Amino acid sequence: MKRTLDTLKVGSRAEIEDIASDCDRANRMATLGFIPGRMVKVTRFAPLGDPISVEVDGQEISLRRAEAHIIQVKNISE
Amino acid sequence: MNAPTEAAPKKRQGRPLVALVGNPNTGKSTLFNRLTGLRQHIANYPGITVEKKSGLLRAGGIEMDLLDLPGCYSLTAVSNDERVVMDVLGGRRGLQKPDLLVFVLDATNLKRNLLLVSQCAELGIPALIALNQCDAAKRNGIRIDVDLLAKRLGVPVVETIATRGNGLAELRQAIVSAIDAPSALPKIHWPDCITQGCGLLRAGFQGAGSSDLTQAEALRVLFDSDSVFTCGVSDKACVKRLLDTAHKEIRESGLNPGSAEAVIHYRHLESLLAGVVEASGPIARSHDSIDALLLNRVWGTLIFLGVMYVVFQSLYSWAGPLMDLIDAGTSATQDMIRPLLSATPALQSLLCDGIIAGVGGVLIFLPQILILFFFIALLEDTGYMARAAFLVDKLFSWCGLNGRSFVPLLSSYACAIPGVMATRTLSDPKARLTTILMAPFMSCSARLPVYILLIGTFIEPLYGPLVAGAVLFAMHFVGLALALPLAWVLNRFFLKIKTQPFILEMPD
Repeated sequence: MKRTLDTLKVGSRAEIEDIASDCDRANRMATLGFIPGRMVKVTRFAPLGDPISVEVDGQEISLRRAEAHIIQVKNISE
Repeated sequence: MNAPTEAAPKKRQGRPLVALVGNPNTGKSTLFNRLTGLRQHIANYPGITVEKKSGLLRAGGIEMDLLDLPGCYSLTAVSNDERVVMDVLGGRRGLQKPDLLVFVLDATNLKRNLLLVSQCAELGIPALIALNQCDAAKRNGIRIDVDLLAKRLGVPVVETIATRGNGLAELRQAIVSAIDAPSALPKIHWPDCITQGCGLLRAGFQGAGSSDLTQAEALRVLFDSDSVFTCGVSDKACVKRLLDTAHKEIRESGLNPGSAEAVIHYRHLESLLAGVVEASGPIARSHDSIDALLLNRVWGTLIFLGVMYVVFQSLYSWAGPLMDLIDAGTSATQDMIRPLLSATPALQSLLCDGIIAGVGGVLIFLPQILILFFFIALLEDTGYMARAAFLVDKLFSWCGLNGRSFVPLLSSYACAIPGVMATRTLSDPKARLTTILMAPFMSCSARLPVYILLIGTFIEPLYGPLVAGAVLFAMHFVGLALALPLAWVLNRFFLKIKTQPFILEMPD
Protein backbone atom coordinates (compact mmCIF):
# COMPACT_ATOMS: atom_id res chain seq x y z
CA MET A 1 0.00 0.00 0.00
CA LYS A 2 1.34 3.42 -0.96
CA ARG A 3 1.76 5.84 1.92
CA THR A 4 1.48 9.55 1.31
CA LEU A 5 3.07 12.46 3.17
CA ASP A 6 -0.19 13.54 4.79
CA THR A 7 -0.47 10.23 6.68
CA LEU A 8 2.81 10.71 8.60
CA LYS A 9 2.92 11.63 12.27
CA VAL A 10 4.83 14.58 13.68
CA GLY A 11 8.51 13.72 13.98
CA SER A 12 8.54 10.97 11.36
CA ARG A 13 10.95 10.88 8.48
CA ALA A 14 10.54 9.29 5.10
CA GLU A 15 11.98 9.20 1.65
CA ILE A 16 9.99 10.75 -1.17
CA GLU A 17 9.14 8.04 -3.66
CA ASP A 18 7.16 9.87 -6.30
CA ILE A 19 4.69 12.65 -6.92
CA ALA A 20 1.27 11.81 -8.32
CA SER A 21 1.56 13.18 -11.82
CA ASP A 22 -1.47 15.44 -11.83
CA CYS A 23 0.73 17.81 -13.75
CA ASP A 24 0.53 21.45 -12.65
CA ARG A 25 0.42 20.80 -8.93
CA ALA A 26 3.09 18.13 -9.14
CA ASN A 27 5.42 20.45 -10.99
CA ARG A 28 4.94 23.15 -8.41
CA MET A 29 5.62 20.83 -5.49
CA ALA A 30 8.63 19.36 -7.26
CA THR A 31 10.18 22.75 -7.98
CA LEU A 32 9.85 23.58 -4.29
CA GLY A 33 12.10 20.65 -3.51
CA PHE A 34 9.75 17.67 -3.17
CA ILE A 35 11.59 15.41 -5.56
CA PRO A 36 12.00 11.63 -5.47
CA GLY A 37 14.91 10.39 -3.39
CA ARG A 38 14.97 13.27 -0.93
CA MET A 39 14.28 12.84 2.76
CA VAL A 40 11.31 14.63 4.27
CA LYS A 41 10.53 15.15 7.96
CA VAL A 42 7.21 16.21 9.41
CA THR A 43 8.02 18.95 11.92
CA ARG A 44 4.60 19.99 13.17
CA PHE A 45 0.88 20.24 12.61
CA ALA A 46 -1.02 23.52 12.88
CA PRO A 47 -3.26 23.83 15.97
CA LEU A 48 -6.28 22.67 13.97
CA GLY A 49 -4.40 19.76 12.39
CA ASP A 50 -4.02 21.35 8.98
CA PRO A 51 -1.76 22.66 7.38
CA ILE A 52 1.33 20.67 8.25
CA SER A 53 4.91 21.83 8.33
CA VAL A 54 7.65 19.70 6.82
CA GLU A 55 11.37 19.90 6.36
CA VAL A 56 12.82 19.03 3.01
CA ASP A 57 16.35 19.72 1.75
CA GLY A 58 17.15 21.97 4.72
CA GLN A 59 14.11 24.21 4.35
CA GLU A 60 10.85 24.29 6.22
CA ILE A 61 7.68 24.49 4.15
CA SER A 62 4.05 24.54 5.24
CA LEU A 63 1.49 22.86 3.08
CA ARG A 64 -2.05 21.62 3.39
CA ARG A 65 -2.84 17.96 3.78
CA ALA A 66 -4.48 18.01 0.35
CA GLU A 67 -1.14 18.99 -1.19
CA ALA A 68 0.82 16.59 0.98
CA HIS A 69 -1.47 13.85 -0.29
CA ILE A 70 0.05 13.90 -3.79
CA ILE A 71 3.50 13.10 -2.39
CA GLN A 72 4.14 9.37 -2.05
CA VAL A 73 6.67 8.30 0.57
CA LYS A 74 8.56 5.12 1.51
CA ASN A 75 11.09 3.92 4.11
CA ILE A 76 9.16 5.60 6.89
CA SER A 77 10.70 5.82 10.34
CA GLU A 78 8.13 6.98 12.85
CA MET B 1 36.73 54.39 -18.80
CA ASN B 2 34.93 55.21 -21.98
CA ALA B 3 34.63 58.81 -22.96
CA PRO B 4 30.98 59.73 -23.45
CA THR B 5 31.47 60.26 -27.18
CA GLU B 6 32.85 56.75 -27.58
CA ALA B 7 30.13 55.19 -25.49
CA ALA B 8 27.34 56.92 -27.36
CA PRO B 9 27.19 54.74 -30.50
CA LYS B 10 27.03 51.61 -28.30
CA LYS B 11 23.88 52.79 -26.62
CA ARG B 12 20.58 51.38 -27.70
CA GLN B 13 17.42 53.35 -28.24
CA GLY B 14 16.14 54.36 -24.82
CA ARG B 15 17.48 53.27 -21.47
CA PRO B 16 18.50 49.68 -20.85
CA LEU B 17 16.01 47.71 -18.79
CA VAL B 18 17.35 45.77 -15.83
CA ALA B 19 15.00 43.42 -13.94
CA LEU B 20 15.38 42.05 -10.43
CA VAL B 21 14.23 38.44 -10.27
CA GLY B 22 14.11 36.13 -7.28
CA ASN B 23 12.19 34.05 -4.76
CA PRO B 24 9.98 35.76 -2.17
CA ASN B 25 11.78 36.82 1.04
CA THR B 26 15.21 37.17 -0.54
CA GLY B 27 15.52 40.89 0.17
CA LYS B 28 14.79 41.77 -3.46
CA SER B 29 12.64 44.77 -2.62
CA THR B 30 15.17 46.06 -0.08
CA LEU B 31 17.82 45.85 -2.76
CA PHE B 32 15.50 47.61 -5.19
CA ASN B 33 14.93 50.45 -2.73
CA ARG B 34 18.65 50.73 -2.05
CA LEU B 35 19.49 50.86 -5.75
CA THR B 36 16.85 53.33 -6.86
CA GLY B 37 16.48 55.45 -3.73
CA LEU B 38 13.40 57.60 -4.09
CA ARG B 39 13.35 57.57 -7.87
CA GLN B 40 10.59 54.99 -8.02
CA HIS B 41 7.48 54.65 -10.05
CA ILE B 42 4.68 52.34 -9.06
CA ALA B 43 1.99 51.36 -11.55
CA ASN B 44 -0.02 48.33 -12.60
CA TYR B 45 0.80 45.90 -15.33
CA PRO B 46 -1.67 46.30 -18.18
CA GLY B 47 -4.86 44.34 -17.62
CA ILE B 48 -3.74 42.69 -14.40
CA THR B 49 -3.75 43.90 -10.80
CA VAL B 50 -0.13 43.28 -10.04
CA GLU B 51 2.00 46.15 -8.90
CA LYS B 52 4.73 47.16 -11.30
CA LYS B 53 7.59 48.71 -9.39
CA SER B 54 10.16 50.42 -11.50
CA GLY B 55 12.81 52.99 -10.76
CA LEU B 56 15.73 54.85 -12.19
CA LEU B 57 19.15 53.34 -11.63
CA ARG B 58 22.18 55.55 -12.18
CA ALA B 59 25.55 53.88 -12.25
CA GLY B 60 28.81 54.44 -14.09
CA GLY B 61 27.42 57.49 -15.88
CA ILE B 62 24.51 55.66 -17.52
CA GLU B 63 20.86 55.66 -16.64
CA MET B 64 18.91 52.45 -16.56
CA ASP B 65 15.36 51.43 -15.73
CA LEU B 66 15.25 48.99 -12.87
CA LEU B 67 12.24 46.74 -12.58
CA ASP B 68 11.38 44.86 -9.38
CA LEU B 69 9.54 41.74 -10.52
CA PRO B 70 7.19 39.98 -8.08
CA GLY B 71 8.89 37.25 -6.05
CA CYS B 72 8.32 33.72 -7.32
CA TYR B 73 9.75 30.28 -6.66
CA SER B 74 9.64 29.02 -10.20
CA LEU B 75 8.30 29.90 -13.62
CA THR B 76 5.30 27.65 -13.05
CA ALA B 77 2.74 30.37 -13.52
CA VAL B 78 0.04 29.81 -10.95
CA SER B 79 -0.62 33.25 -9.58
CA ASN B 80 -0.97 36.54 -11.39
CA ASP B 81 2.37 37.56 -9.91
CA GLU B 82 4.06 34.63 -11.56
CA ARG B 83 2.26 35.27 -14.83
CA VAL B 84 3.65 38.78 -14.83
CA VAL B 85 7.18 37.45 -14.36
CA MET B 86 6.71 35.19 -17.37
CA ASP B 87 5.17 38.00 -19.44
CA VAL B 88 8.03 40.37 -18.70
CA LEU B 89 10.79 37.82 -19.23
CA GLY B 90 9.24 36.71 -22.48
CA GLY B 91 8.60 40.29 -23.61
CA ARG B 92 4.94 39.44 -24.11
CA ARG B 93 1.83 41.67 -24.07
CA GLY B 94 3.82 44.60 -25.41
CA LEU B 95 6.11 44.63 -22.39
CA GLN B 96 9.74 45.47 -22.97
CA LYS B 97 12.01 42.46 -22.64
CA PRO B 98 14.75 43.14 -20.05
CA ASP B 99 18.31 43.64 -21.29
CA LEU B 100 19.72 42.21 -18.09
CA LEU B 101 18.38 40.03 -15.30
CA VAL B 102 19.73 40.49 -11.81
CA PHE B 103 18.90 37.38 -9.82
CA VAL B 104 18.61 38.08 -6.12
CA LEU B 105 19.38 34.84 -4.30
CA ASP B 106 19.11 33.92 -0.66
CA ALA B 107 22.56 32.57 0.19
CA THR B 108 21.12 30.45 2.99
CA ASN B 109 19.09 28.39 0.53
CA LEU B 110 21.12 28.56 -2.63
CA LYS B 111 19.98 25.38 -4.33
CA ARG B 112 16.27 26.15 -4.26
CA ASN B 113 16.94 29.75 -5.24
CA LEU B 114 19.03 28.64 -8.21
CA LEU B 115 16.15 26.61 -9.61
CA LEU B 116 14.53 29.78 -10.89
CA VAL B 117 17.87 30.86 -12.36
CA SER B 118 18.21 27.51 -14.06
CA GLN B 119 14.71 27.82 -15.53
CA CYS B 120 15.37 31.36 -16.73
CA ALA B 121 18.58 30.26 -18.44
CA GLU B 122 16.39 28.92 -21.25
CA LEU B 123 15.35 32.48 -22.09
CA GLY B 124 18.90 33.44 -23.02
CA ILE B 125 18.72 36.87 -21.42
CA PRO B 126 22.07 38.17 -20.06
CA ALA B 127 22.22 37.76 -16.31
CA LEU B 128 24.15 38.42 -13.16
CA ILE B 129 23.72 37.15 -9.64
CA ALA B 130 23.38 39.12 -6.42
CA LEU B 131 24.07 36.68 -3.61
CA ASN B 132 22.09 38.25 -0.81
CA GLN B 133 21.91 37.54 2.93
CA CYS B 134 25.54 36.46 2.96
CA ASP B 135 25.76 37.41 6.62
CA ALA B 136 22.95 35.00 7.55
CA ALA B 137 24.61 32.26 5.51
CA LYS B 138 27.91 32.78 7.34
CA ARG B 139 26.09 32.72 10.68
CA ASN B 140 24.55 29.39 9.73
CA GLY B 141 27.96 28.00 8.88
CA ILE B 142 27.38 27.98 5.12
CA ARG B 143 30.49 28.81 3.12
CA ILE B 144 30.06 29.69 -0.53
CA ASP B 145 32.93 29.80 -3.00
CA VAL B 146 31.72 32.83 -4.95
CA ASP B 147 34.43 32.72 -7.62
CA LEU B 148 33.78 29.08 -8.35
CA LEU B 149 30.02 29.70 -8.49
CA ALA B 150 30.57 32.54 -10.98
CA LYS B 151 32.84 30.33 -13.05
CA ARG B 152 30.34 27.45 -13.12
CA LEU B 153 27.37 29.70 -13.92
CA GLY B 154 29.31 31.75 -16.45
CA VAL B 155 27.90 35.02 -15.11
CA PRO B 156 29.21 37.50 -12.51
CA VAL B 157 28.25 36.86 -8.88
CA VAL B 158 28.23 39.73 -6.35
CA GLU B 159 27.87 39.27 -2.61
CA THR B 160 25.42 41.67 -1.00
CA ILE B 161 23.75 42.33 2.33
CA ALA B 162 20.80 44.43 1.23
CA THR B 163 19.56 45.24 4.74
CA ARG B 164 22.89 46.88 5.60
CA GLY B 165 23.68 48.18 2.12
CA ASN B 166 26.86 46.12 1.79
CA GLY B 167 28.06 45.22 -1.69
CA LEU B 168 25.89 47.80 -3.44
CA ALA B 169 28.76 49.67 -5.09
CA GLU B 170 30.08 46.36 -6.45
CA LEU B 171 26.61 45.43 -7.66
CA ARG B 172 26.20 48.75 -9.52
CA GLN B 173 29.60 48.25 -11.10
CA ALA B 174 28.70 44.70 -12.10
CA ILE B 175 25.42 45.87 -13.65
CA VAL B 176 27.23 48.47 -15.76
CA SER B 177 29.84 45.95 -16.87
CA ALA B 178 27.17 43.38 -17.68
CA ILE B 179 25.28 45.89 -19.84
CA ASP B 180 28.50 46.57 -21.77
CA ALA B 181 29.68 42.98 -21.96
CA PRO B 182 26.72 40.69 -21.35
CA SER B 183 27.10 37.03 -20.44
CA ALA B 184 24.24 34.55 -20.46
CA LEU B 185 23.63 31.50 -18.30
CA PRO B 186 24.43 28.09 -19.79
CA LYS B 187 21.35 26.21 -20.90
CA ILE B 188 20.56 22.89 -19.34
CA HIS B 189 20.96 19.73 -21.37
CA TRP B 190 17.54 18.14 -21.66
CA PRO B 191 16.95 14.43 -22.23
CA ASP B 192 15.78 13.52 -25.73
CA CYS B 193 12.21 12.78 -24.69
CA ILE B 194 11.80 16.35 -23.47
CA THR B 195 13.43 17.96 -26.49
CA GLN B 196 11.16 15.85 -28.67
CA GLY B 197 8.15 16.87 -26.58
CA CYS B 198 9.04 20.51 -27.10
CA GLY B 199 9.44 19.98 -30.82
CA LEU B 200 6.04 18.32 -30.94
CA LEU B 201 4.41 21.22 -29.10
CA ARG B 202 6.09 23.83 -31.26
CA ALA B 203 5.02 22.10 -34.46
CA GLY B 204 1.53 21.59 -33.06
CA PHE B 205 1.11 25.21 -32.02
CA GLN B 206 2.26 26.37 -35.42
CA GLY B 207 -0.27 24.05 -37.00
CA ALA B 208 -3.02 25.40 -34.75
CA GLY B 209 -2.35 28.83 -36.21
CA SER B 210 -1.36 30.44 -32.94
CA SER B 211 1.81 32.44 -32.40
CA ASP B 212 5.02 30.45 -32.60
CA LEU B 213 6.49 29.08 -29.41
CA THR B 214 10.13 29.53 -28.55
CA GLN B 215 11.99 26.61 -27.02
CA ALA B 216 11.70 28.24 -23.58
CA GLU B 217 7.96 28.73 -23.99
CA ALA B 218 7.47 25.17 -25.20
CA LEU B 219 9.14 23.93 -22.01
CA ARG B 220 6.70 25.95 -19.92
CA VAL B 221 3.74 24.51 -21.80
CA LEU B 222 5.13 21.01 -21.48
CA PHE B 223 5.56 21.19 -17.70
CA ASP B 224 2.79 23.57 -16.82
CA SER B 225 -0.39 22.96 -18.77
CA ASP B 226 -1.99 26.06 -17.24
CA SER B 227 0.81 28.30 -18.43
CA VAL B 228 0.22 31.71 -19.98
CA PHE B 229 1.10 30.41 -23.41
CA THR B 230 -1.85 28.08 -23.65
CA CYS B 231 -4.32 30.81 -22.69
CA GLY B 232 -4.22 32.41 -26.13
CA VAL B 233 -4.96 29.17 -27.94
CA SER B 234 -8.60 28.66 -28.74
CA ASP B 235 -8.34 24.97 -29.56
CA LYS B 236 -7.94 23.61 -26.01
CA ALA B 237 -8.57 20.03 -27.10
CA CYS B 238 -5.70 20.25 -29.55
CA VAL B 239 -3.35 21.48 -26.81
CA LYS B 240 -4.45 18.64 -24.56
CA ARG B 241 -3.90 16.08 -27.28
CA LEU B 242 -0.40 17.43 -27.94
CA LEU B 243 0.44 17.43 -24.23
CA ASP B 244 -0.85 13.91 -23.73
CA THR B 245 1.34 12.61 -26.55
CA ALA B 246 4.38 14.48 -25.23
CA HIS B 247 3.76 13.31 -21.65
CA LYS B 248 3.33 9.73 -22.78
CA GLU B 249 6.73 9.89 -24.43
CA ILE B 250 8.29 11.27 -21.24
CA ARG B 251 6.68 8.49 -19.20
CA GLU B 252 8.00 5.86 -21.60
CA SER B 253 11.50 7.19 -20.95
CA GLY B 254 10.98 6.46 -17.27
CA LEU B 255 10.37 10.02 -16.13
CA ASN B 256 7.36 11.51 -14.37
CA PRO B 257 6.10 14.50 -16.38
CA GLY B 258 4.98 16.07 -13.11
CA SER B 259 8.38 16.15 -11.52
CA ALA B 260 10.75 15.69 -14.45
CA GLU B 261 11.55 19.37 -14.83
CA ALA B 262 12.44 19.82 -11.16
CA VAL B 263 14.34 16.53 -11.02
CA ILE B 264 16.49 17.44 -14.02
CA HIS B 265 17.11 20.99 -12.81
CA TYR B 266 18.04 19.88 -9.30
CA ARG B 267 20.33 17.16 -10.63
CA HIS B 268 22.05 19.82 -12.75
CA LEU B 269 22.26 22.19 -9.77
CA GLU B 270 23.63 19.54 -7.44
CA SER B 271 26.58 18.89 -9.72
CA LEU B 272 26.96 22.62 -10.27
CA LEU B 273 27.06 23.32 -6.54
CA ALA B 274 29.43 20.46 -5.69
CA GLY B 275 32.40 22.09 -4.01
CA VAL B 276 30.76 25.51 -4.12
CA VAL B 277 28.61 25.29 -1.01
CA GLU B 278 30.02 23.88 2.17
CA ALA B 279 27.81 23.63 5.22
CA SER B 280 29.56 22.95 8.50
CA GLY B 281 27.29 20.65 10.40
CA PRO B 282 23.50 20.63 10.26
CA ILE B 283 21.92 23.93 9.43
CA ALA B 284 20.59 25.45 12.63
CA ARG B 285 17.99 28.03 11.78
CA SER B 286 17.91 30.74 14.38
CA HIS B 287 14.13 30.75 14.46
CA ASP B 288 13.68 27.03 15.10
CA SER B 289 13.38 27.28 18.87
CA ILE B 290 11.12 30.34 18.66
CA ASP B 291 8.93 28.53 16.14
CA ALA B 292 8.60 25.60 18.52
CA LEU B 293 6.82 28.02 20.81
CA LEU B 294 5.07 30.29 18.29
CA LEU B 295 3.63 27.39 16.31
CA ASN B 296 2.86 25.20 19.31
CA ARG B 297 -0.74 23.99 19.46
CA VAL B 298 -1.49 25.49 22.83
CA TRP B 299 1.07 28.23 23.32
CA GLY B 300 1.07 29.30 19.70
CA THR B 301 -2.68 29.77 19.76
CA LEU B 302 -2.53 31.66 23.04
CA ILE B 303 0.27 33.89 21.75
CA PHE B 304 -1.69 34.51 18.55
CA LEU B 305 -4.77 35.57 20.51
CA GLY B 306 -2.57 37.60 22.84
CA VAL B 307 -0.87 39.43 19.97
CA MET B 308 -4.19 40.21 18.34
CA TYR B 309 -5.61 41.36 21.67
CA VAL B 310 -2.66 43.68 22.26
CA VAL B 311 -3.10 45.15 18.77
CA PHE B 312 -6.74 46.00 19.33
CA GLN B 313 -6.40 47.02 22.95
CA SER B 314 -3.67 49.50 22.05
CA LEU B 315 -5.83 50.74 19.21
CA TYR B 316 -8.52 51.42 21.78
CA SER B 317 -6.30 53.06 24.40
CA TRP B 318 -3.66 54.81 22.27
CA ALA B 319 -5.84 56.24 19.55
CA GLY B 320 -8.34 57.76 22.02
CA PRO B 321 -6.20 60.65 23.35
CA LEU B 322 -4.90 61.49 19.88
CA MET B 323 -8.44 61.53 18.51
CA ASP B 324 -9.53 63.80 21.34
CA LEU B 325 -6.62 66.08 20.48
CA ILE B 326 -7.63 66.28 16.82
CA ASP B 327 -11.24 66.82 17.83
CA ALA B 328 -10.25 69.62 20.22
CA GLY B 329 -8.03 71.13 17.53
CA THR B 330 -10.90 71.13 15.05
CA SER B 331 -13.27 72.88 17.47
CA ALA B 332 -10.57 75.37 18.49
CA THR B 333 -9.94 76.29 14.84
CA GLN B 334 -13.66 76.65 14.26
CA ASP B 335 -14.02 78.87 17.33
CA MET B 336 -11.07 80.98 16.24
CA ILE B 337 -12.31 81.56 12.69
CA ARG B 338 -16.03 81.94 13.41
CA PRO B 339 -15.85 85.46 14.98
CA LEU B 340 -13.52 86.70 12.24
CA LEU B 341 -16.07 85.95 9.53
CA SER B 342 -19.25 86.97 11.34
CA ALA B 343 -19.81 89.67 8.69
CA THR B 344 -20.20 87.05 5.93
CA PRO B 345 -22.35 84.20 7.33
CA ALA B 346 -22.20 82.20 4.10
CA LEU B 347 -18.39 82.12 4.05
CA GLN B 348 -18.32 81.48 7.79
CA SER B 349 -20.56 78.47 7.40
CA LEU B 350 -18.61 77.17 4.41
CA LEU B 351 -15.29 77.40 6.23
CA CYS B 352 -16.29 76.33 9.74
CA ASP B 353 -19.11 73.86 9.21
CA GLY B 354 -17.97 72.69 5.80
CA ILE B 355 -14.23 72.62 5.24
CA ILE B 356 -12.88 72.53 8.81
CA ALA B 357 -15.51 70.13 10.12
CA GLY B 358 -15.11 67.95 7.03
CA VAL B 359 -11.32 67.76 7.15
CA GLY B 360 -11.45 67.26 10.93
CA GLY B 361 -13.94 64.43 10.46
CA VAL B 362 -11.50 62.62 8.18
CA LEU B 363 -8.35 63.43 10.17
CA ILE B 364 -9.89 61.95 13.29
CA PHE B 365 -9.49 58.43 11.83
CA LEU B 366 -5.81 58.94 11.17
CA PRO B 367 -4.44 57.82 14.60
CA GLN B 368 -6.23 54.46 14.42
CA ILE B 369 -5.19 53.83 10.86
CA LEU B 370 -1.59 54.75 11.64
CA ILE B 371 -1.42 52.54 14.71
CA LEU B 372 -2.95 49.57 12.92
CA PHE B 373 -0.68 49.97 9.92
CA PHE B 374 2.27 50.19 12.27
CA PHE B 375 1.29 46.83 13.76
CA ILE B 376 0.67 45.26 10.36
CA ALA B 377 4.11 46.38 9.17
CA LEU B 378 5.66 45.10 12.40
CA LEU B 379 3.97 41.69 12.11
CA GLU B 380 4.95 41.41 8.44
CA ASP B 381 8.57 42.36 8.98
CA THR B 382 9.10 40.07 11.94
CA GLY B 383 7.71 37.18 9.92
CA TYR B 384 4.87 36.65 12.36
CA MET B 385 2.25 37.10 9.63
CA ALA B 386 3.39 33.90 7.90
CA ARG B 387 3.24 32.05 11.21
CA ALA B 388 -0.20 33.44 11.94
CA ALA B 389 -1.30 32.27 8.48
CA PHE B 390 -0.08 28.77 9.35
CA LEU B 391 -1.94 28.81 12.66
CA VAL B 392 -5.27 29.99 11.35
CA ASP B 393 -5.32 28.51 7.84
CA LYS B 394 -7.77 25.75 8.75
CA LEU B 395 -10.13 28.37 10.12
CA PHE B 396 -10.34 29.87 6.65
CA SER B 397 -9.63 26.97 4.30
CA TRP B 398 -13.04 25.29 4.69
CA CYS B 399 -14.74 28.28 3.15
CA GLY B 400 -12.38 28.83 0.23
CA LEU B 401 -10.14 31.40 1.85
CA ASN B 402 -6.67 30.56 3.11
CA GLY B 403 -4.28 31.50 5.89
CA ARG B 404 -2.91 34.30 3.78
CA SER B 405 -6.39 35.84 3.65
CA PHE B 406 -5.81 36.65 7.26
CA VAL B 407 -3.44 39.47 6.30
CA PRO B 408 -5.86 41.33 4.00
CA LEU B 409 -8.73 40.63 6.37
CA LEU B 410 -6.76 42.05 9.27
CA SER B 411 -5.91 45.07 7.12
CA SER B 412 -9.61 45.47 6.49
CA TYR B 413 -9.99 46.15 10.19
CA ALA B 414 -8.22 49.43 9.48
CA CYS B 415 -10.07 50.05 6.26
CA ALA B 416 -11.50 47.75 3.60
CA ILE B 417 -9.67 49.61 0.84
CA PRO B 418 -6.09 48.75 1.86
CA GLY B 419 -7.49 45.34 2.76
CA VAL B 420 -8.70 44.78 -0.78
CA MET B 421 -5.35 46.08 -2.02
CA ALA B 422 -3.53 43.63 0.23
CA THR B 423 -5.30 40.70 -1.49
CA ARG B 424 -2.71 41.05 -4.25
CA THR B 425 -0.50 38.92 -2.07
CA LEU B 426 -2.93 36.01 -2.45
CA SER B 427 -1.79 33.78 -5.24
CA ASP B 428 -4.98 31.76 -5.35
CA PRO B 429 -7.53 33.63 -7.52
CA LYS B 430 -10.41 31.95 -5.69
CA ALA B 431 -9.15 32.93 -2.25
CA ARG B 432 -8.34 36.37 -3.58
CA LEU B 433 -11.82 37.07 -4.91
CA THR B 434 -13.48 35.64 -1.83
CA THR B 435 -11.23 37.67 0.43
CA ILE B 436 -12.05 40.85 -1.49
CA LEU B 437 -15.76 40.14 -1.08
CA MET B 438 -15.34 39.42 2.63
CA ALA B 439 -13.15 42.43 3.36
CA PRO B 440 -16.06 44.89 3.83
CA PHE B 441 -17.56 42.59 6.49
CA MET B 442 -14.57 43.20 8.69
CA SER B 443 -15.14 45.92 11.14
CA CYS B 444 -13.23 48.82 9.60
CA SER B 445 -11.76 51.55 11.73
CA ALA B 446 -14.39 54.05 10.59
CA ARG B 447 -16.85 51.99 12.62
CA LEU B 448 -14.54 52.02 15.62
CA PRO B 449 -15.57 55.49 16.86
CA VAL B 450 -19.17 54.28 16.81
CA TYR B 451 -18.25 51.23 18.86
CA ILE B 452 -16.16 53.32 21.22
CA LEU B 453 -18.99 55.78 21.65
CA LEU B 454 -21.57 53.05 22.32
CA ILE B 455 -19.26 51.00 24.54
CA GLY B 456 -18.20 54.16 26.38
CA THR B 457 -21.83 55.04 26.96
CA PHE B 458 -23.37 51.67 27.79
CA ILE B 459 -20.65 49.21 28.82
CA GLU B 460 -17.81 51.14 30.42
CA PRO B 461 -19.81 52.94 33.16
CA LEU B 462 -21.48 49.68 34.17
CA TYR B 463 -18.70 47.09 33.88
CA GLY B 464 -15.45 49.05 33.88
CA PRO B 465 -12.75 49.60 31.24
CA LEU B 466 -11.50 45.99 31.18
CA VAL B 467 -14.85 44.59 30.04
CA ALA B 468 -15.20 47.52 27.64
CA GLY B 469 -11.94 46.51 25.95
CA ALA B 470 -13.09 42.90 25.73
CA VAL B 471 -16.42 43.91 24.21
CA LEU B 472 -14.62 45.99 21.60
CA PHE B 473 -12.47 42.95 20.84
CA ALA B 474 -15.56 40.77 20.50
CA MET B 475 -17.26 43.27 18.19
CA HIS B 476 -14.52 42.67 15.67
CA PHE B 477 -15.31 38.97 15.59
CA VAL B 478 -18.98 39.48 14.75
CA GLY B 479 -18.13 40.54 11.19
CA LEU B 480 -15.79 37.59 10.82
CA ALA B 481 -18.39 35.15 12.15
CA LEU B 482 -20.80 36.42 9.52
CA ALA B 483 -18.30 36.59 6.67
CA LEU B 484 -16.95 33.04 6.81
CA PRO B 485 -20.23 31.14 6.32
CA LEU B 486 -21.10 33.58 3.57
CA ALA B 487 -17.76 32.91 1.90
CA TRP B 488 -18.57 29.20 2.03
CA VAL B 489 -21.98 29.72 0.41
CA LEU B 490 -20.39 31.92 -2.22
CA ASN B 491 -17.72 29.39 -3.08
CA ARG B 492 -20.08 26.44 -2.93
CA PHE B 493 -22.71 27.84 -5.24
CA PHE B 494 -21.39 30.79 -7.19
CA LEU B 495 -17.63 30.97 -7.65
CA LYS B 496 -16.42 27.95 -9.51
CA ILE B 497 -12.72 28.63 -9.46
CA LYS B 498 -10.01 26.03 -9.11
CA THR B 499 -8.33 26.01 -5.70
CA GLN B 500 -4.61 26.56 -5.69
CA PRO B 501 -2.14 24.90 -3.37
CA PHE B 502 -1.39 26.73 -0.16
CA ILE B 503 2.33 26.73 0.39
CA LEU B 504 4.11 28.85 2.90
CA GLU B 505 7.72 29.43 3.76
CA MET B 506 8.61 30.70 7.21
CA PRO B 507 10.73 33.82 6.83
CA ASP B 508 13.39 34.58 9.45
